[in-house]
Amino acid sequence: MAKLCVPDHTGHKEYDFTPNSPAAKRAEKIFNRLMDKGYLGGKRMADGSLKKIRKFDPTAEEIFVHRHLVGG
Amino acid sequence: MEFEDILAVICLVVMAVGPVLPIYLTARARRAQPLRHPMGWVSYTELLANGLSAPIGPLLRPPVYGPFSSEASNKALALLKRWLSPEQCKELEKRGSFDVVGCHTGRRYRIHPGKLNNVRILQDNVEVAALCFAPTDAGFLPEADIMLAQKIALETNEKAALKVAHQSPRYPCSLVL
Repeated sequence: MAKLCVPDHTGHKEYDFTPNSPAAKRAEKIFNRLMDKGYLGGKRMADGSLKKIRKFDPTAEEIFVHRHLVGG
Repeated sequence: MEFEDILAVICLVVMAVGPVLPIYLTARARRAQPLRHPMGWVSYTELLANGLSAPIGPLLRPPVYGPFSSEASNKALALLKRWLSPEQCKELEKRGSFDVVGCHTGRRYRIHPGKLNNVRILQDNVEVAALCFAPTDAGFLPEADIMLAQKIALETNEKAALKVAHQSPRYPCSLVL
């Protein structure tokens, strides 16, 4: 089962989904809402490769989103 | 002792105590007022009496929530490990940090645990510069989540990460970006 991970103070929140399921639609909605807020996303495919994403990919193994980066 | 002497002593006492008396009375009045307490309104003296009469027991440590709790840290660490390559996972377990390769420059970086200046640029396996960049809400996140965000940024969008990153002045500036 694929996951959308959104980091927070508890570690992170996970939204499980499988392609073409209501859970995937819910995860996509959350993903899009976060992207609109300026979050950045990355996906991990089953072969371990990473890619930056701006659109929700239901075929990804795992998606991680985080707020935009700033210099410290 | 004559009457004048007694009067003089009384005058001296009043003069000595006089300036302090209003302060004392105000403080006493304030103490007598009930205080706001989690259990309701109680008077200072009642609170003090209860405190003094209560048996001394071990202090109850409030449970720790947030990014510094072990539960949040462990959860974030498990997520980070899922995203690391087998080689990076080994490095993390062996020395607590792992190396990533920038997607644009091919440069190697070492990500140490931490939130500030924890990313180092490697040259011939030697750390030559420290970079500082993190998600804007880094203060509320466990370290492993920040490390993961840094890893994804360097491996998928290195230029954008380097654009915002600040370089530590401890290292020569000429090396970076």
